[in-house]
Amino acid sequence: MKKNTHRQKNKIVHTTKAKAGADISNTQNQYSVSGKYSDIFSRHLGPMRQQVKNLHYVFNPSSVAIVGASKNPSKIGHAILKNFMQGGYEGKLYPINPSEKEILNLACYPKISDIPHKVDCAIIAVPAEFVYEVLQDAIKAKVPSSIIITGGFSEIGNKNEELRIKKLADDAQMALIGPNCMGVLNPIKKVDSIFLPIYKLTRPQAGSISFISQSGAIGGCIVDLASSFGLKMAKFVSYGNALCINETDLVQYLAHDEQTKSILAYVEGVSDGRKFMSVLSGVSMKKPFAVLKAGKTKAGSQAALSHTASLSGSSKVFSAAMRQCGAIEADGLDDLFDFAKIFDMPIFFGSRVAVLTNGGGNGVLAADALEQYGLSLAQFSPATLRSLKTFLPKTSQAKNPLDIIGDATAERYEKSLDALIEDEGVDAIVVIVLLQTASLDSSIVNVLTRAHYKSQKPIIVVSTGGDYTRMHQKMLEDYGLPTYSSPSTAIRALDAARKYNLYCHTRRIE
Amino acid sequence: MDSKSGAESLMDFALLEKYNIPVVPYRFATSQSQAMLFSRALGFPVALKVASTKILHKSEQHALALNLRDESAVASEYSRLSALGGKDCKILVQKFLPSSFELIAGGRMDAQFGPTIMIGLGGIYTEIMQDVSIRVAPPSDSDIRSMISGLKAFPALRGARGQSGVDLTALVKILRALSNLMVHEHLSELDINPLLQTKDGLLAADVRVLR
Repeated sequence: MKKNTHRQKNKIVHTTKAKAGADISNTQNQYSVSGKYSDIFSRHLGPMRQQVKNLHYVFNPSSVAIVGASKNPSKIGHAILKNFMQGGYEGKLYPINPSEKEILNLACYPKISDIPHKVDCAIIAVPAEFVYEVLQDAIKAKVPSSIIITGGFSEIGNKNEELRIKKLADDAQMALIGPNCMGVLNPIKKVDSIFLPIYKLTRPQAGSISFISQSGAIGGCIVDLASSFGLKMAKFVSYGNALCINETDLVQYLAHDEQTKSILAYVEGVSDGRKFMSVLSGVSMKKPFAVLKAGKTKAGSQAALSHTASLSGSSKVFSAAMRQCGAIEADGLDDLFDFAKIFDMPIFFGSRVAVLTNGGGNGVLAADALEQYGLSLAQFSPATLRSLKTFLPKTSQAKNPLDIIGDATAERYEKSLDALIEDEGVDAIVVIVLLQTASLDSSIVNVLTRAHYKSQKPIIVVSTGGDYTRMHQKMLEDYGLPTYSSPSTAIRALDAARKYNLYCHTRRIE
Repeated sequence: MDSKSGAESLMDFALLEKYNIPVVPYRFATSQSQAMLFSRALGFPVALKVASTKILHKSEQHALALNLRDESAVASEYSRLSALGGKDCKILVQKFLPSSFELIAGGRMDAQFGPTIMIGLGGIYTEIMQDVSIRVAPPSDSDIRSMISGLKAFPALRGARGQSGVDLTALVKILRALSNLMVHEHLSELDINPLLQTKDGLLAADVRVLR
């Protein structure tokens, strides 16, 4: 229900835009413009090789073989099978273990080629020395994709074995994730190869954000945090040693994925920087990409000869590269989640922000943050000022930041928001809600949600406080309102969204 | 102090000229009389610098002499510098141009992203302030503009409080040329330090190239 409303809203926004465009540019053919955009998109993205296309079977398998499935609950192979079953996966599941007849009431096969049906994805959790053999068998059975959970390869110096596996998978154009990874999560299709038990690590709901993580440990934290923040995910993948499928391939695949509306990434290194940049500049035209790079502080060039080298270390180059292809760089996991919330918002370009608050001090902090990020306080129009004066108490001044003072009710918020939404000199609205006041109750959630769906400009909420506040933050986020705990984090995210809009909508059409 | 890595770098002005990066008029002298001859040809005042491959911080090591106004000054500084530089060391004779602004520009081959270019605030505060902007080469025109405007010192570059700043159009051209150079020459490092704003324009006053 809620989702439908949002979709409808987006639709309205788009139709009005299209109309406005048509009115202004009678002579210009709008479609040719968008056509050129999509050309740029595909030129930068480049063609997907078959191996990358086969990622479809990793994320949407209609049948999965779990190699190394076990009756022993402490084994990873058991946890994966159980998570698939508990998670409500609707495809076929085939546990593989030569010494069992059935596991968790499912018929068990000695090897994949013994399964009389087609298998889309093989999840491999057997010791490293058996992986090659298992993969050979999977390829014999024409399995198009696999996830190697097992570690013990190049990360501990076992490079040769890894290269043998790579040759095998590349020749068969098998989409191979890992090794040494947690694999994938697709909440839409209930595909879940993460071997951490569901009661310890909650899975996020289905949504539109996709996440890629080189590290399994960080990946686990991401999934857990995402679900606790109420972020809804389209796809998650921990890709480990990136033997056959690396970050560039995944981003390329997700760029084409209809369900993915924004992409977040945690990377430690990039295998081919140029290719990565080229793909990213294509992606950024279509959907936002935010990245957290680990290992930023490592002194890149201590033995450098020139000033240039000592001043332009590899982490600075990474930041520059990301900037050049419209990617948004995060400073930490928190940052990445802050950005994740902001992308599903109406597009805006202007820098004039209205701040609405029931606490003076927080308004000042917001004004400070606006200046820090190069945004500005909007000047209210005479009409807005007139309308504000009709209902604001005498002690509240009709100026930006708009402090509607400590006894503000949900109704006063609603009227103020209506005025700000109408004001053409306002590009975005930051609403600060201090829920500790006596006059505010949970009905503020409805007021903000209504405003959010009604408004064609972004509205973001800042609410600072303890348990009671956090409960309401969660409610607001469930309704799709980006909600932050401090003015500075909110405005930093707003600024990132604006920069992204400017990047992908002002790039010259080549 | 020798260069940090001990590797040899070249004072290759010709390479900059090949890519149309304007340089301060210069000659390399191998004898005192040659230095005096070149000084006259370039016109006083001149600057002398040891063209050693191993001296990085010339000013800290007194490996340069600026604002020399006549031949006798050139003669005596030449003796001092050639002693400092050692046998077979060339001495760079340059026209001495007072500068109103010092920048540093350069490039580096990055292991992940390939050739990159850099622009930053020059002078004695370069390493203290670390006010630099980097782009992967070749940057688009808007990348170059944002690269320059991204410097903290940008308001000063533009000219502030009655001070003239830097010729920004020339700077854009130089960065584009630098990008070209880095893309085509596959250098591991290039350092133009300083890049001076003089009355004759924005000119490279010193360069180090590491192949």
